[in-house]
Amino acid sequence: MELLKFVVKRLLAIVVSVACVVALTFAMMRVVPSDYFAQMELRYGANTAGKQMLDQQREEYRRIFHLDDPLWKQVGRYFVRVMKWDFGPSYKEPNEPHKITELVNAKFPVTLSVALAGMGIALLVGVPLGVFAALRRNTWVDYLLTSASMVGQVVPPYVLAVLLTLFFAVFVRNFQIGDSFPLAWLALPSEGWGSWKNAVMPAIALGAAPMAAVARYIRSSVLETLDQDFVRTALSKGLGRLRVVVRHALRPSLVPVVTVMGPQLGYMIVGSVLVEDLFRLQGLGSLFVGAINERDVPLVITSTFILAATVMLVNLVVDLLYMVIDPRIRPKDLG
Amino acid sequence: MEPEESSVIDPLDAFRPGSPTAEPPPGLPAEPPKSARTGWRHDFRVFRRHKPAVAGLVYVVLLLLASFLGPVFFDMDYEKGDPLQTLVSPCAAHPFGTDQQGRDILVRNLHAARNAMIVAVVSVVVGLVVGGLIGAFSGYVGGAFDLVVMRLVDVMFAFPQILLLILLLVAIPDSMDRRISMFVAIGVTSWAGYARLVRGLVIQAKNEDYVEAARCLGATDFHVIRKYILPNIAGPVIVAVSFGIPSAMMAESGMSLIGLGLRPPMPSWGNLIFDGAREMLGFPHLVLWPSLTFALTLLAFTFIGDGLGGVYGKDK
Repeated sequence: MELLKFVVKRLLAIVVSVACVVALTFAMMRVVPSDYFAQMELRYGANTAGKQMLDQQREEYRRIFHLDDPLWKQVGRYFVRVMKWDFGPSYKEPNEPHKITELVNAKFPVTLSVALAGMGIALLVGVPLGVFAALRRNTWVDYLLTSASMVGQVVPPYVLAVLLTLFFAVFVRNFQIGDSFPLAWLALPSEGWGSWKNAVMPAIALGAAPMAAVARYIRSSVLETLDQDFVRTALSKGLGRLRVVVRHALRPSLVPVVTVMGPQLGYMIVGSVLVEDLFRLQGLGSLFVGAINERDVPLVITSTFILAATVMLVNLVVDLLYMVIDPRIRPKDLG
Repeated sequence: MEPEESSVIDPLDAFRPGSPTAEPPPGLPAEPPKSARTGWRHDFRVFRRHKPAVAGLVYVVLLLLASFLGPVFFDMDYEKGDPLQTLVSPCAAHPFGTDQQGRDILVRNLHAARNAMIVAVVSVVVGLVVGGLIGAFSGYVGGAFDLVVMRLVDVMFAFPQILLLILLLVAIPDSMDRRISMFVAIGVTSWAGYARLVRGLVIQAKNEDYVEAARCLGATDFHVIRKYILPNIAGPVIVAVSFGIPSAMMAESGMSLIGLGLRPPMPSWGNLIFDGAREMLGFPHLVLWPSLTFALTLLAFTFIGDGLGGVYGKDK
């Protein structure tokens, strides 16, 4: 019951926040100094006849897309669309009534899988690194890992991706590792739609920040538990060192990692906006940036909506997951 | 106190100020040298102990000198290219090489550093002034105003920052210098954080016993703010600002990367990296130096922030 109340309360908060986001986006798109048609003109140029046509089209779009309605009406109508999961046509293809829904359905999985892959990398690498650093406390290994995690946390994903790609593609190639080295997925594809291989580097780059966060967290947490009595008991019973560390010291530290991951996953999903274009990934991020650059208003609003809603829902899911894993956590602990 | 004992001359009296009969409480030096415990000299001594922070400070100072004084002494036009020297690899004349139009990468890199630092510092100041004033007022006055402001802050936090930044940058007219648009956009997206921080600090500081005591003695609001609240919140705010600078730099370069920040002839780490990445495998120097400088600069500012966090005892 308590749990149900918690979920309902959080969902309501999400709906309100998302409504704010959508309203703000509508408002922003109204005051944009250069609209879709101005961008078209800028891009393709237009003679007098063309200009007239664009103006005519602008008036037509005003009617089709209800641009003159008050804000609350636009937001309300948009939420009806969300209920039906039908976001209507985009400016670019006004004759395809379900264009935006199709785009979102096709591109959302790309962004989500890159983010989840990054998260997987972060956990698979971050946890062992954290444990290792804790066991080698205050040695050069520890310092090296701590500084590396600092780099991962501070340097943004696109810079990291570029540096890593350079390192592997140029440095390693120059040192003749051999043709078997899978350079294909490190190199930027020149053109085209790309494949899952393009996702490897962005996933690593996006995963660096959560990896650093996890490693730091695990390190301090394992250090704390290593001093506990039950660890000493386990050691004095004659259990192996590795077993003690993994079973007794690491296990209690793993649960709160979930709370570290929540905001990070949200950050990675929004971070796709910055990374996808650079790697020619066809996900929500590049959809959003493309729509922004063309001022394709319906597409901008929907991609903002999807990104914002996903981030908020991910945080809710992570909180729920935390409660499932650790039953001692009650809804009131999470606010 | 027995009179015989007080007449005995203590050898330590020679080091004590005032008359030798003035009895300091036992165990305490009469007057601790003030500068050793407080003030910026002491702060600097603590800061200096944090080696990475010192290295970061040295790096930032060098970068500042090179990027702001460089154009004064050398010909550093970032738009001027030599059509006969395109895509030159690093050599003596062009230490970082040249790009497709024969423009020197070092020069463009330094201009990018300069733009990044200008944008970061000004936009952090904008965010801090707006957010700090709102937060301080909200915390000090409380009541309905506080409630409204905090709801607004919650909405700001719910909105993913990058998206808000993008929408703002699209909405700001293109005719302005893009750096000014960046000040506004980053200021607007970051004020909420400062407001929340300053509000918390002000509430904490104003509920201290000594503030209440001062009020009982008739201190005015102005006196309380100047004497008790400002000194108490300065430390954490300085730390927050020092972490705000690298994140503003990231925002600037991120926006330039997707084409919404500084416009191409004007170099920014974002557009240098984006353009360079296109030719990354053939001409790695195009992208290597800008991204290395950028990464180092971010690290340097973060180290300085860590050092300041050590000084002011509030590690974020």
